[in-house]
Amino acid sequence: MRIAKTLLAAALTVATFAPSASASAATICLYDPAGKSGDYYRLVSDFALDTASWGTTIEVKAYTDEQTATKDYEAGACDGVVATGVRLQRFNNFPSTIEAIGAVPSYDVLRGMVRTLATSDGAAKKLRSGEHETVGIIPVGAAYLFVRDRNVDSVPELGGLRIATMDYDKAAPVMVDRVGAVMVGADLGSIGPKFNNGDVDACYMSAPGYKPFELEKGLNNGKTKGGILRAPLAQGTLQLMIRHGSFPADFGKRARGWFADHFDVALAHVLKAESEIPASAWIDVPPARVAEWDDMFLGVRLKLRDDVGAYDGQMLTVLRQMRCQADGARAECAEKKE
Amino acid sequence: MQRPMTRFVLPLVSLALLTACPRPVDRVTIHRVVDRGRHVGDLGEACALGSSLSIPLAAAGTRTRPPHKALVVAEATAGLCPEGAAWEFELTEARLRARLADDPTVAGQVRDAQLAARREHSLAADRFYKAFQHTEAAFGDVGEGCPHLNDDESFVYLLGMVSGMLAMLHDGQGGGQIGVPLDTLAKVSRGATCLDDAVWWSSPMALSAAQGATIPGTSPEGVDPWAQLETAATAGEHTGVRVSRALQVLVAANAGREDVVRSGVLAHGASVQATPRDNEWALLDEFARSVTGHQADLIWTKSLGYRAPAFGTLPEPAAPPPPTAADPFSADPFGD
Repeated sequence: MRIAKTLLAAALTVATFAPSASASAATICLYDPAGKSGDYYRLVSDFALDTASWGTTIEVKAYTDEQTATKDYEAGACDGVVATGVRLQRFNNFPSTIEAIGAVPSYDVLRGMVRTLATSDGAAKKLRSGEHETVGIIPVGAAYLFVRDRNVDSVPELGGLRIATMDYDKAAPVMVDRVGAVMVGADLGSIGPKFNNGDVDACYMSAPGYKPFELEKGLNNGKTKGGILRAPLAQGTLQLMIRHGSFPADFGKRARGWFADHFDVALAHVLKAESEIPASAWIDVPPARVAEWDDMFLGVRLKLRDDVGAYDGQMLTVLRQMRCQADGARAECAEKKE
Repeated sequence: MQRPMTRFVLPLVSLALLTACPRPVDRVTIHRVVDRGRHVGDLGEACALGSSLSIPLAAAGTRTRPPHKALVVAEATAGLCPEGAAWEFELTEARLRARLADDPTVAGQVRDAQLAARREHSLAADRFYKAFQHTEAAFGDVGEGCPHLNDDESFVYLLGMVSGMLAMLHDGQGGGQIGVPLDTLAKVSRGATCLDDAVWWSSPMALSAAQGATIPGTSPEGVDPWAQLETAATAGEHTGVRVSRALQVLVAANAGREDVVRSGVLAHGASVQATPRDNEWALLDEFARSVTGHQADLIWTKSLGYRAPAFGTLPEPAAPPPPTAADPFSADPFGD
């Protein structure tokens, strides 16, 4: 009895003085091009507030340089990172394949995929890769092709054009090669100046980048009238990746649910930015040419899946099913190459 | 004896009511109000003055030709009131957030402070953006060539550039409610090059580096925007009007460059000790002090729960526990 009392006292002493598991906050390094005044910093700060009630305290650290944010995550300076899917591709290409070229033609399909990833146990397993786990996907807008000459709206017309592409994007060289264009390496910051100065003939960007990079200068360049092809090349996303062991076991599932629930909050910023682009800047692609673009996109995806290994086959299959669910008349629905 | 605010407001309101021509109002505002007001190192008085003047000034002139230059000054100083209020709510939020780990029930209070801060940020953005819009109305599109500016107008133009930058940052922090265009910072960075660094304490150089520091890669080739910000800040400190140091700290805080914020806080503090304020521009030096002071307050509050006890200081990192010394009483001299 006396021994039991002593053990109980010892246990209580340890319980009283041991630091609580939640006492130190986990750090998330977040890339937002607008820093602390950005929409994504605000969204993830709201997320961090809600996780406190789950017993997980998070401190959000803003970065305007995506590469530095990712490097700090790799170096262990933070327990999680928010960066674009393409930047996180090398950790796990399953979630980054959601950004596959031409794979998500509408925000409805994207919303459906984000919800599926939040609820599917099978997907949950694939969202883990070693110590890394993807626990949130935020839409940042469809990437559109900006051309300095608005007469360019078909795949053959891209031949010979200089296209600014992200240095770390594995898909870009394959696409550029397939259409016979010339790749000009760039990063997010230099795409705008290169396009506006005429160093490239085309670039791709989502609508929230239109104003900050002043892309209207490249569209209204004095020589030819440019435009934006209203056909999404790919969906840009920011993804929250964490070091699994630094968070409670059920954190990933709860976090994915939170981001799926807040999908439309983030999308509202994108839709607002798209609505602020003058109607005259858009180029509507005729349906016959849309099929031509889709065919080119499919070829690029298959190469990136089979030869480069940049895309995850299972993700491509589910995306194809979702596209066909939205529009069963698509040619690919019968072919089932993905 | 008239109170200072009444001294400024009464003649202007009278002028605004008596004339429908914007030029005299612009002239009186710049020559009399700015000339006296800039000596006052009291942000509370400046923001009260701006808030009280903006409506009578807007009523002067005609609907299509308000006194734009006077309104740049009025709206920019009026923005200081909600800016200060937003910062207070940010400190409250930071203090409560630090308690979240031990007490998740404070989440509601954190949210309340956060929402209150966002409202004040939006109000500040609205006023600063109006100041920027009046700048464009008075001098033409910012960033598209340089207007001809005399000395007095240069000051108004500078105020317009700072307002544009503040409008964009505050609107972002407020949730984009005001809709300040996201190319405003790029315009400001170009527009600032129209001003003389030697006259305006290198603050034009700091403003022109802001876009490149915020969006990596957008600086002209070979220009390191962070080095440019430091050059501007150091040059400005010797003048006793430390606006460029404050702009550096503000841009760094937004970009999450805490290393730059910390070194900026310490440098600003050292400069205040070494170089007396230029009383000709006491108001702007006080504004600079408030910007840097807020970032220091945030660091102190996150770390220790209270704001900076002295300007230009940072909390010491927690000292490691002292090494365990041999217990002198281990062989108990009072024992048996």
